Amino acid sequence: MGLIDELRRFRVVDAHAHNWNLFADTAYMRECLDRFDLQGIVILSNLTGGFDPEPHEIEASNEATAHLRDAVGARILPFCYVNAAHTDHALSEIERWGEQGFCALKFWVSQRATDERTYTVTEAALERGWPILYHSYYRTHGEAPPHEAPPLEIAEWAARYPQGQFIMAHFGAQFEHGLRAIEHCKNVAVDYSGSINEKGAYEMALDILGPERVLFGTDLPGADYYVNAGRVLELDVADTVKQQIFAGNIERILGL
Amino acid sequence: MTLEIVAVDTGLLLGPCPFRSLPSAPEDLLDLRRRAGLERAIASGFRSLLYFDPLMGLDEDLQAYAALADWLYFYAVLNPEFPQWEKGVRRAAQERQIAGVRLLPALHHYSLNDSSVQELVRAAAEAHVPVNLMARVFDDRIAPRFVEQQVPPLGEVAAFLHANEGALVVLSMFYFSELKTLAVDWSELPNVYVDFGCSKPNVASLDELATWFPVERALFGTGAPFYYWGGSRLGLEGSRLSEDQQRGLLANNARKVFSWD
Repeated sequence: MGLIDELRRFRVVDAHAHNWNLFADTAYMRECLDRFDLQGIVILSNLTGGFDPEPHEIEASNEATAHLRDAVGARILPFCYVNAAHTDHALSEIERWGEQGFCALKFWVSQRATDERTYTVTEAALERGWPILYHSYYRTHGEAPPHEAPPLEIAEWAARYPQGQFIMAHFGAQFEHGLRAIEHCKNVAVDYSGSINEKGAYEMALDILGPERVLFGTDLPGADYYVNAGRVLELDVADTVKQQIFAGNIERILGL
Repeated sequence: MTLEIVAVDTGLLLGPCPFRSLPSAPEDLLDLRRRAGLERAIASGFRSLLYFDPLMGLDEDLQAYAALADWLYFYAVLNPEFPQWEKGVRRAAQERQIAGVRLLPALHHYSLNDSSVQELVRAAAEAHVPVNLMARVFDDRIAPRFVEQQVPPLGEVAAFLHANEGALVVLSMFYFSELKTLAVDWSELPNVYVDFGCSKPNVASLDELATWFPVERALFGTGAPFYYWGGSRLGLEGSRLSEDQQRGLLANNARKVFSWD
């Protein structure tokens, strides 16, 4: 028996992926969904416009997500991508894509989490009942994107909206820092998507947040699907907990 | 669960870590061995990676893990600027438990162009000792803030490989993005092996590996228990590499490099 056989025992929904780069090719992406036997995949954006996208770039990104959903079907779970620095445009995008079946909001690095404009856009998304996923990194080295939100800001932002449901992506990068920052924010779930691979991250998240706040995501196509899934399989926890991580929690959050 | 296909993990990172507690007591490693199906493994302890005198760290590791000596081997981390590195090369040639020597310029802060590096590698080649060049220990983005990790420039790495064609060299902890842009023709470097267990693949990297790298020279070091081993293992299992290629990468290639059995 291999880990592949082990993985097949679980239903998997990827809670963090992008339709850029290799996944700009819809046929290849569909092939990967089949090959990985994914029940669903959250599409956050194709990152058009880089760190500070203009309104027309945001529109192009959301349109690409919609086209992908139309082409591939219900396995695509479309998140609306916005730049809250262009506040009115962000509000109109929420309105537009809310009518088109998008199910949640994504913030990347175009504005800080504690920016007033972020609050305005957050409130519009919450009025729709949308969860919000926020990229968050605590970097110890290297230059961060100018408006990247560190985990302590995510905690401050989420605390303003106890009725909201939030997802802090990547466990905040440096996982002890990230997880401690949001430990007491019961409305913040986390995903460890990406290429950071330090052992102890999932274990600590399960320990201090509980199994219902830990999600499986990959950051496909920039990271490998199986490499991400193998971290969960390695955990010394019950299959029921792994199933919550692999699919149950994101299904609950998105009301699937 | 125990995996059927055995593996040789050529890159464990274990022992007391100053930054967080790791499951690397001998009994933890036995559990890792069972779960990951490890036939053998080569490790570096944080003691030898971080001590001023790496061989003192190695000796502590050899003592701490003596009960696992039937399957657990170590690299002797050497700093070519530190006195008596020659002793480390001699020990690697003579002691069964030492599988090779390991260079870590990222933390010891020397250039691969330095004459002391050439001297060390020449000595290792003459003694038929494999030389491991470790790009990094930590993820560049989240290394402890007071650790100044300086990954060697790729141009220097390429020059190092060409300058030391007589040595058996293993590259580890390089990322796919770096390896694919390294200005070398891998077919012209038959003594160079690459450890792909901690290489940050994207969705297609492992599928495409055989198109640009001679996979009979690919090794599998996971960095466990500092890093997750399950991801590296499943990444390989899920790839489109053939079963033979996977078995080679997981174990057979390493058996050849390190002349076991």
